[in-house]
Amino acid sequence: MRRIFFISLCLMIVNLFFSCGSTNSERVNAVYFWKTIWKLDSTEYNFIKKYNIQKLYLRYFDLVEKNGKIVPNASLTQGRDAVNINCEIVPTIFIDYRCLNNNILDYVEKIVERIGAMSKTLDIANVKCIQIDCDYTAKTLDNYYKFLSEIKQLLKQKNMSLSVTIRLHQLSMKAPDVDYGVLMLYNTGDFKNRDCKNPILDFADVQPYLKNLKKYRLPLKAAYPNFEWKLLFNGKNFKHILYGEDISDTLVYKRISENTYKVISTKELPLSPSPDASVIFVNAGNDVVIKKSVASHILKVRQEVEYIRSDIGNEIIFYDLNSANIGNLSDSEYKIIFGID
Amino acid sequence: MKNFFIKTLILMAVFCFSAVAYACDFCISYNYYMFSVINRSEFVAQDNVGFVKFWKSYTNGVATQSDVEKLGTMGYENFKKLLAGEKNFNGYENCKSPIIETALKKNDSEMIEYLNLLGQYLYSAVYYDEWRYPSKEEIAKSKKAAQDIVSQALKYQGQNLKERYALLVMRCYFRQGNYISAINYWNTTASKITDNGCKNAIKGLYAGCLFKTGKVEQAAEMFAQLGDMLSVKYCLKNKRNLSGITKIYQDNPTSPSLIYLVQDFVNNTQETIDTVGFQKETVDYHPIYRKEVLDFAKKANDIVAENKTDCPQLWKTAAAMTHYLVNFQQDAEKEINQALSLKGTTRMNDNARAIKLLIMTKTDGNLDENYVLSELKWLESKIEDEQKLDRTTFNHYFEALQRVVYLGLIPRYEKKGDKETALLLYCYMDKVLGIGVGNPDFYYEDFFTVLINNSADETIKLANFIQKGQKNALQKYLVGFAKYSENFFNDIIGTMYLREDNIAKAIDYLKLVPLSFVSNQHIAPYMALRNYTQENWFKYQPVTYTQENDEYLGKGISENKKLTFANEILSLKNRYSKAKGEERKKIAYDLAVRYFQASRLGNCWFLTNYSWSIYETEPQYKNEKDFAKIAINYLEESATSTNADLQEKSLCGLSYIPVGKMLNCYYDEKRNWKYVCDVDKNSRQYQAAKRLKTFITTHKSKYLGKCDILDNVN
Repeated sequence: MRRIFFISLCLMIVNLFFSCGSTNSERVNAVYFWKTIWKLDSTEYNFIKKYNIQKLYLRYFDLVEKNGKIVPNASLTQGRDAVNINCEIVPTIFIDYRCLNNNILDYVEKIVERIGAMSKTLDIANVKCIQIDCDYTAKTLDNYYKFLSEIKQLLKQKNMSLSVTIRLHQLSMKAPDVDYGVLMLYNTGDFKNRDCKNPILDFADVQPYLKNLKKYRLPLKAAYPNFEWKLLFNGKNFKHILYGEDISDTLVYKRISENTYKVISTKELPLSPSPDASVIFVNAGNDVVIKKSVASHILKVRQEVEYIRSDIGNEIIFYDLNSANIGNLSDSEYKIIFGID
Repeated sequence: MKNFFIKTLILMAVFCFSAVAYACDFCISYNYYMFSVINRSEFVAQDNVGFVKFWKSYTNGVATQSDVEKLGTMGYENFKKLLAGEKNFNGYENCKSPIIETALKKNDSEMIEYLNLLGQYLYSAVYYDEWRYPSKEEIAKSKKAAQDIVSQALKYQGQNLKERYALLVMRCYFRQGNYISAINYWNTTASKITDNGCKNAIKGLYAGCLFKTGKVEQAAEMFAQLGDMLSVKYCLKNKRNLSGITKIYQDNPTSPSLIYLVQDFVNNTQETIDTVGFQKETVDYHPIYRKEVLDFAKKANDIVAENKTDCPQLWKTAAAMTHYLVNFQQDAEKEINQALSLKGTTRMNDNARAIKLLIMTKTDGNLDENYVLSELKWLESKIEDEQKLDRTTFNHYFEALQRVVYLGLIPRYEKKGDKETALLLYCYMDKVLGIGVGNPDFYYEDFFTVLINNSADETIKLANFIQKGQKNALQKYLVGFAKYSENFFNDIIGTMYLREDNIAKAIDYLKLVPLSFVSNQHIAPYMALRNYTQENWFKYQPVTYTQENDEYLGKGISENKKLTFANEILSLKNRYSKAKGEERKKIAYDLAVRYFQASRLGNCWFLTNYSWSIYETEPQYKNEKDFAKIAINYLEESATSTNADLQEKSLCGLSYIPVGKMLNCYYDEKRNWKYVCDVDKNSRQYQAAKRLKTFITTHKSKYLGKCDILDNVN
């Protein structure tokens, strides 16, 4: 009881703090949508409505390297029914880092053309901005930035702007010449390390990077997590992330603590019917450790980054819009983070 | 030596990491799945041979798999041109098709019409991962094309191509995502059509539609009927437990999915228990899991009693195997005997029979050797039968035999003190597994590995047993696989006595071994090239890979150094026992040099062992003496000599021998994996090095130049 009171008090204080910053009318609430079929269920529709989501970063496709060429992969397709929402859509392209070792500059026009074609097919109008998501390093920075520069020029001709995702470790590098960046404030810890308490987001992991935030020369927005991971370990050795696995099956998983399940019955999890698909071996004696997105850490991180850069608070983005993840944070937590009264 | 070591590693890999063992993190050897009512080879992707067969027949044996595939890859324009009878176009040679040519040649208007529709289907698909993303119009066109194809296909009234039109309809419905229509079409029409090569493809689409509409269990059932075990596995991935099995049984007691699920449950139980036992897990999930397994066994027995299943043998065998796994031995024995008289397929019956043998290896009562013998022979015949099957990647009975023998029979006989039968079983399995076949180098066989662990006296008894001591039919059968000569045993016994430091007895056996036998041993190159009188602390004696394999194997041996060594040791010890003062110390040094060379740390390890490993530096076998420590004792004596040369040599030896090591070297995680060596100043070796350092500060050294190790000694 005391604990609930304490948390509520903290949330109230934080709410007060955030209410003194940007006004609600200026702030934009946004989400990422990262599935391959463009359709929303009722939970997702309600989320958009309830939290006044005005912008949706929609993953259009990935770019991967295949046989020395760069090709689209896992392209978004239209679901049965059209999606009817009143949000600005930002087509987002994920580029696998290996593509940066290739001649990616040759694909600039193709990428922009494809985005246009997809928007038309999917009935997505008034696209004003696109986003590129890529985990580049110091080694691939030059090639990547040249690529971004060319894309930006091409988009400018179409009156469109360009944004990119920025990871914490990239804050120490030169900023790209784009219109804004989305600072990914998640996946900050080492999920393969069982002793890592909050690998999804932990302020302690973010803090060392904040010294570079103030002078990072790019308008920024921030994205926060609402997902959880089910991590399979054999003792201390990480094995796999279990996607979509039902751990309420008590014949296979025994809960031994709040966030830990012991595997009591061996099974293999085929990931698809394809004979080439990988299989995860869940063995008796393994542990499944649940790591969650923790609202207090999100709030703490948000507080700190907005203290350093108030412009970051102009848009709050969640990764991601998925009915499987929405329930990981409570209604009040979303409201606090989005700054909704 | 390297060759030997590599072979050992490969064999260990083969035995420890079977296709099954990838399922567990760190499993025991030979823990192959025992329960097999579905051949595991059915869990690999199957080729659809029906398609090709149809077209091959239509074209009088001409069309191939590649011709069938080409219909969908040649491009729509080329397809249309070919169908119109055109030949004079660019690319004709690459895309000409015996299927289309035959239809045109036969003037088969029915087939031409079908091919026309097939072409429309093949080339109206849209692809979402090409650079050119399809437009709304193209997607709509593709959907319309699918609809048009369905409409036309449904009009077909003929008989010859009824099946192929049905397949077109199903494909188009599937492409549209119109799964309900596809299911209805199957139910009303497609299911009644005669199979002419592609009925399975239609069924597969039907099963896919069931899956897509959430009828997962029905889909699994259909896939099971098709033998598509991969799809069954995927459909039932969340049903592979007792509640899933129970539900499917309730809905359909004769569902073919149950056969897969029962096999899967029993094998997962086996895997769990094998892994758990080995890991010595302390969390209390084991009792919980045990309850589930017992509940399953009870359920299996109940199902048999209800008499609704069409394969009671399957269930009763499953009950027996699971009871066996959780040590309910009496229940297991009762149930497996019952299972053998119940109804089931041939494979189920074979499954029960093999499992019975495994269960009986743990029986408290007497295990009749004649029964064991007959079942081993039966398993051998089943191995041959399984090898004759097409598509066989795994040989289940080969694996079952290994599990029965290594994890059942051998432990049983060892526990009962019947070392002889256990040893013969190792020998039998070596031959069954083909280890050492055609290779005189049998020192990596399990038989040898087990034998070498005995003392010399025990080995004499085993050798006598193998030569003439068998008592029952099983032993007499197994001994037929033990083709070991007198020379083999004399050599091993002599070597064993040598390692036990029983020199006189060693000589008695070693003198019986001809040089030709020694020359062909894998240790022969080492014997040829290394000299046990050379101090190990002054010179390393290398043997190259080429020398080991090409130059000295089978030749180059002029004496059996084990025998000469033994004779020298005997003579030296004799003199040592009579000598006094400096003379005795000199002999002590000579003995030290020889003992150390013959130890596991010396270059001449082949004198007392058949292999060398960096991990085995201390005595491993029964009664084996520590020759390195014996050498140290002699060196301590010779180091007290007043002769400076002898003293220095002795101190070098004492400082060199890594017994009571002074350095502990490792890769330090805390120092970024740097390779570091910690010095133990209290160790014997360090103290010896200190004495040596003191000596060379007061004497001019004959044997040492710069020594970085001694620089660290103070």
